[in-house]
Amino acid sequence: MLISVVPVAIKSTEQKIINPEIYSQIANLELISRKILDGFLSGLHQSSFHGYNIEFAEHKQYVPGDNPSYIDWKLFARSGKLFSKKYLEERNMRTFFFLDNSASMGFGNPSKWNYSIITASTLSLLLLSKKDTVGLWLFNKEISSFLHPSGKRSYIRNICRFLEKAYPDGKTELGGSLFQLASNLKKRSLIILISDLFSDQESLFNAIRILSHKGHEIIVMHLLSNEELEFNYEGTKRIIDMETQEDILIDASYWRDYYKKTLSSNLNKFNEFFSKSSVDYMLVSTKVPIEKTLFNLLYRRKRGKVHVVLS
Amino acid sequence: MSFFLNSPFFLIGLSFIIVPIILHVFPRLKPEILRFSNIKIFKETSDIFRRNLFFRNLLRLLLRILFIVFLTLAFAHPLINKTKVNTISFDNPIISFKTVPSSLITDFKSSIRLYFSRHHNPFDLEVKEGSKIISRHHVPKDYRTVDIEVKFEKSGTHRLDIYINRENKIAYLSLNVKDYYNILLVSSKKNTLLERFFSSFGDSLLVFRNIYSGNLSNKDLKGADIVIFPYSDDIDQKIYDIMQEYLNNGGNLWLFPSSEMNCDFVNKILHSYSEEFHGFSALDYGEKNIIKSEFIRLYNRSFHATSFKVPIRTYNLYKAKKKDPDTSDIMLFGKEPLAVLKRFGKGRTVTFLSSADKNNPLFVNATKMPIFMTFLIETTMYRENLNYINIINKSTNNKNNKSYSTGYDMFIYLIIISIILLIFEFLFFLRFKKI
Repeated sequence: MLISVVPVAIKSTEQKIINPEIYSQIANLELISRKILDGFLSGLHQSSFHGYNIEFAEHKQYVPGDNPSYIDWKLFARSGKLFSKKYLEERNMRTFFFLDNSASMGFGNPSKWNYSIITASTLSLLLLSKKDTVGLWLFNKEISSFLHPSGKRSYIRNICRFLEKAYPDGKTELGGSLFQLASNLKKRSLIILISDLFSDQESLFNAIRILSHKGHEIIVMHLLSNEELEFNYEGTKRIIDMETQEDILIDASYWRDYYKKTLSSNLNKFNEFFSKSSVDYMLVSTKVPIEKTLFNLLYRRKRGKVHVVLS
Repeated sequence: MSFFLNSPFFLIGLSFIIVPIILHVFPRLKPEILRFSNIKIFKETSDIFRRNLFFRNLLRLLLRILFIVFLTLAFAHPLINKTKVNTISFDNPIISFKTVPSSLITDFKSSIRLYFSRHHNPFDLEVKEGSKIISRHHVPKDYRTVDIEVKFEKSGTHRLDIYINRENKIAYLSLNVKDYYNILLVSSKKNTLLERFFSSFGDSLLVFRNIYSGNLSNKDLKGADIVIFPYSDDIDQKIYDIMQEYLNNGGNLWLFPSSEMNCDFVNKILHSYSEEFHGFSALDYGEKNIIKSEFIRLYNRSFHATSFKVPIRTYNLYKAKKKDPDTSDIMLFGKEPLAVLKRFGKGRTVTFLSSADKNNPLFVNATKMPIFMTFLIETTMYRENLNYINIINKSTNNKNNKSYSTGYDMFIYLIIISIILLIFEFLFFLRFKKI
């Protein structure tokens, strides 16, 4: 259900992270849940709670003990049987941003970390303006910090402050962190995972399967910098891993083909897994402007399942 | 099979091998550090890939080193001998004389042509007369002949020492060169016109002597380069026999008609020229210009009769620039025939159609031209039979000195190989965008 929303003014304190120009381009779009989620405030999203004042869902044969006020008397007049009406109540959506803040996210120009926090904060503002609740989790080898979900518009300041303080550090252990998240989330929610996914693929896929099985809706934004995608380096380099500090001496010109081939094979595995699952997947290059990425996500989501190999 | 370098100096280019080695090794000693998000991909490479990479690097290094080696070797001109090492040697030299005509005097230069074996390297040649260096020559690779022009200050017999100069005097040739003509004037009376003419050369280039025709013997003709009969009526049967032998042995005879009636000898000689001249048996010198008119008839006929057996060509003194003794049969002075040039046995004869008489303007005017003598000497000199050059001593180069070895120059092959290597290097560059 689409409701036009008047853009919310961004305060100066939030401008450090949220670019008003980016926000203005997506302000009229919504991040709509496609699954039935458990919210507790009235909002835009379908809820598993049934009420009376919202939207008709179905008829149910009346049994003694049901609220007689829900009996559909017109149907009784036509059929001579008692049926009670059931309604779907629109509730708000609980969204959790699950941001990778491992050291590898600090790579690239612009860095993947900057790209991810701008994306997260801008989407947060959008969600808060639609009365949805937004929470934040940061992880590297495990969940490092989190911000409780809240639906207040002013909560965007807390989010921005929280993201400002964070910085990329440590190794990535994506599978373990997602398992941790799965055990912590009691209610069905929308989880937006923003990471470079430099982790063990099998454990990641297992964690995604569990989260999905628990009824959570997941959007995976796979962030890679242009340098990682193209590997346009020349000459002999001593490459140091930003996470493990291991190093290797390579001749970039000779390794380029091999690197791209291996990367492409890894991306194909992600592509294959996510295309079969119900999880939305976007492979994003930091070269692409954020507003375009966000617009793509929101627009495609409105039309159905998102599966973008490279936006 | 032996191998040696013609220009070993270029081997200094091999020092450039250090450049690809530095390019290969230096970046590995001081590599640029790059902090990268994840090196898992690089760590998980297969051994095959690493081995390929190692060989690719090695191959490129080898390619560059080989390029420098082949290019350097190419410029060093390596020679490979497939056969026994040959040494350079002098073949029999041949001498000829070049004339340097001018308006006032006629000058002569001796020209010695040396022949060499076909395959040899470039070398320098030095010609000495005594201790005086006359000339130096650079003989390019595989040149077979060298012409040495020598102008001697005085006519006579000269000793020339010719050295092949390279590093050491390896080969030499000593020659005795004679640069004068012995001219024998045979007549029963004095001919002042011819005497004055030959004396006018001053130098001892032309050594002439008079001999009374009645005393002529074979002994007198020995050493005579040219025998001149100013008066043909001096010739009797005895002289005719002597002269025939002289001519058959390669002598030169100049024959002038006389105003007397006895023309038997001339007729006999003219008979011998060829069939075409048989008609001259009835020559009568008593009538003025009969010979001349007959020759004009033949001369004219040569232009019209294609079946004419003896080719008659003309040589105009006015236009004469270069001798061509085999094709000059009639010497013209202006439009007037002056002499007939013919082989006689091994020798040559010049039969003048005008008497050597100071009252004869045709001959007198002709002798005033410097080209006249030049022409006569050049057409008369019969090189095969005159021993103007005597080899005194001759040696070949030291066989241990391989500088003169013959061989196949590998330059072009090495250049082609270098170009192929360069193309491979260029393909590598295009493929990996890496120097």
